[in-house]
Amino acid sequence: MEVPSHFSKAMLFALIATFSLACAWEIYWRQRDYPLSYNEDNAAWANARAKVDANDEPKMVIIGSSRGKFDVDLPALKQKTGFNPIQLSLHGSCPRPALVDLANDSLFTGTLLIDVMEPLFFAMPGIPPYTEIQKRVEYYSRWTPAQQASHKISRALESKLVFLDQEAISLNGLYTRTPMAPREGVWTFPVFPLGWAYVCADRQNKLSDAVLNSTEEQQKIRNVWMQLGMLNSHGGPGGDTLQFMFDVVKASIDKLKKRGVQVFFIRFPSTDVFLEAEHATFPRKMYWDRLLEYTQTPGIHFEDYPVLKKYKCPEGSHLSPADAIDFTKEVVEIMKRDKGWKTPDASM
Amino acid sequence: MVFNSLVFIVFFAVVVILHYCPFPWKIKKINLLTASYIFYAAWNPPFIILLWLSTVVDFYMASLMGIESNQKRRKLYLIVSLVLNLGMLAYFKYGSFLLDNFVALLSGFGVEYHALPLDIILPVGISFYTFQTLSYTIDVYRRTIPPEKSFLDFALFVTFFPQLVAGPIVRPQDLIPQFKTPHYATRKMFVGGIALMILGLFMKVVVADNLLAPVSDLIFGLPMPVDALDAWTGVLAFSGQIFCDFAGYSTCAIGAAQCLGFGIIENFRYPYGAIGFSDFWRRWHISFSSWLRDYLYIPLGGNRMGSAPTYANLMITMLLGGLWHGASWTFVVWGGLHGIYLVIERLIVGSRKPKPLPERQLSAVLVRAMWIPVTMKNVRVLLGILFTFFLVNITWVFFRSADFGQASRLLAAMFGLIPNAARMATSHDICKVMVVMAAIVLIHWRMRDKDLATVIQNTSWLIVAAIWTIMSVALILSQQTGDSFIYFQF
Repeated sequence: MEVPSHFSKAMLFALIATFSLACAWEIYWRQRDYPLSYNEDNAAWANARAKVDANDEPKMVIIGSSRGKFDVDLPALKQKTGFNPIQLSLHGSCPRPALVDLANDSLFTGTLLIDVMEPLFFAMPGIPPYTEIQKRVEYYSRWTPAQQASHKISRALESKLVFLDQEAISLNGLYTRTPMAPREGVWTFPVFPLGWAYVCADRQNKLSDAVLNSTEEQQKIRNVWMQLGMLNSHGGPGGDTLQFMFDVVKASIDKLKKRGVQVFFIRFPSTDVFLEAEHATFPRKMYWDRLLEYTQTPGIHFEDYPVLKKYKCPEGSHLSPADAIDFTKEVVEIMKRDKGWKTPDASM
Repeated sequence: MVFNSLVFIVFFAVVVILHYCPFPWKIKKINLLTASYIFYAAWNPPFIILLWLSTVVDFYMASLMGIESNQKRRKLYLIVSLVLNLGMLAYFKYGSFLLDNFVALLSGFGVEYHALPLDIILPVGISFYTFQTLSYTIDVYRRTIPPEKSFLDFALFVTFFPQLVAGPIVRPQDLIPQFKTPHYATRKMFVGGIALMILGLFMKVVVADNLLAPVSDLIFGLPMPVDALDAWTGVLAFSGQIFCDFAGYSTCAIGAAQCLGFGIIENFRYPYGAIGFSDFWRRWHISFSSWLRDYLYIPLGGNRMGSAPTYANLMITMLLGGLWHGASWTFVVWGGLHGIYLVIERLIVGSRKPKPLPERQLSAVLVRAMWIPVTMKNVRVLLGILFTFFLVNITWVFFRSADFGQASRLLAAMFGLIPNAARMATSHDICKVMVVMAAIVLIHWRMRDKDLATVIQNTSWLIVAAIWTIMSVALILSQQTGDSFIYFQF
């Protein structure tokens, strides 16, 4: 491009203006006490997944959906088990593709905790809860050196800048919050309240103080769960479809067990109407009990243990950060005491 | 490595610093070559061997052609180069496609054959550097250019990172001479280069990836028929996405090269402002269409042998051009449609002379006091643009669809042939696609005969600064890095 004479002046002005606006944007969000949150993009998952293959030592890995991310406190888990846990759960996703991926990875040994949130665990292939995690698994298999380097730089920036929250306050995130009349007959993905939760560097999720301290905010999130169909009455899969899912899960777990991996299913708490809806649509006998029996795998259902049953989810589906610490410690105690989990050294 | 990644910022800063350090020119060229290999290896290091192979073989074949006077031997050296380059392209890009079609052909004859899937990974940008290096050996064979004596300059021509993986496909005579003497950007050139990179990134990251890709991915990812509005929204979204993605890359490439003091040819010239398909191909992926013209269409005979052979040559060129984009029959149909459009246009244009328009009569009726004066000429141009754009969108359906089933479903939906089909696009989706696409067509219309630099020159510096500030802020706000450019897969 032939450079016009006044262009340098314009570019200098643009540079200063961009820098000033970016600073102002950061200050704006900090003044609103917006929590610093890491992105949950493909690279973040791949980075966690790479830790499984970092060496051939036993690992503690968690797969599942958002309950696995909110309800397992990773520092508490490390303190109680001695493992540095690897969080591979993904919000709103089905853990089956990640389970198959880990089963096929001969480098993975140790312990695997599988979050069973029935509507997501038994999600049909081809729908977003399944495809979203599938995409991450595929992304990891072709994660290039350039993407790895970019991820490292991105994490360094995300650790300092509040406005780098891709899901909520990016251009697209803000655009979807613009009020607009819904199109007739079209389901629109609900919008979460800004800053309702945040993601830590280790991929653990936490409910924000704004939600914990306000029943109004909690109700807004409950409304989102309802819009997402968590109170729907139509049941989960059955017949051959369900049997096929069980078969895939069993085949993967058998592979893992052959390598000495200790596998545990965990049913995390949900509260009031959401728990009732889950009971109604995914009866325990047909799904949870059958899953444990068919795969011959130990499981911890929060309703079976008074120490776990006492916890309440502020917005119906996830534990508060403080409760997640105690809940995690209790779960590890049960794993050790009742489910035969062996310590890292003993398991090797 | 992609331009829209954080690691590229670091990489490019290091390259620029090294380029402006007081080293001898040869050392700087070695730096650029090393940087280009790092740029490429950052995807998949082993594939750099293909690049080396292509570079070494083509350099020596061309050298042999230069000293050899026996025409048969010269042809043999050219064939070696063609077989190697096209062979690699055929294996990596078309291996699975050829195997699938072979199996289907056998099945057509009642022979059941089950081939093991080849599971080949496509080396990034192989189609681009293959065409670039082929143009060198063909030109040397034709004696259009002499063989390059410096291996370093030739290797840099094949590998020069700004345009290595997605073009523009640069000709040897345009780039190699630039490596002969020290090239540096002046301060103004450097600023212009950075501005082009911001513009390119804005097109790619903000418009293509943030605004349009989610909608086109949604509509083209659906297994069922959709409502007419949804179908048009999806197709228009893809239409904008592919332009902004690819033109965005080319703009970044030109900007990056300019920052280092090198000039790379323009690859897009407001293609959605085209009237007719000859015009479209003079504006869309210019380096590719001119490559096809010079190395395929003209050698086939071009338009020198009468009407029927000209139409046949056009069709062959466009069908192969379609196949170049991907190993699928949908790309061939895409190319075929463009070929048919070009043939029809030739038939129409050749059969009648343009009539002068009753400019004054209509202008008297229409309102003149508008930002875009409504004159007969403007109306005619706009109608021509919109009609061409409409036909281009029909072709994009085949380009983007995974198979003919999906393409036919979408086309049926676009023309309202599917009653009570699913509505999937939200108000937000429709609104942003329509606004963005209207803006793109409007800009292309107004800029179709203009030059960006001249427009900037005639615009107040404050407005220019405001536009670049908006683009930069939008880039920061979009918070999206690392997504591949669509054309990398070609």
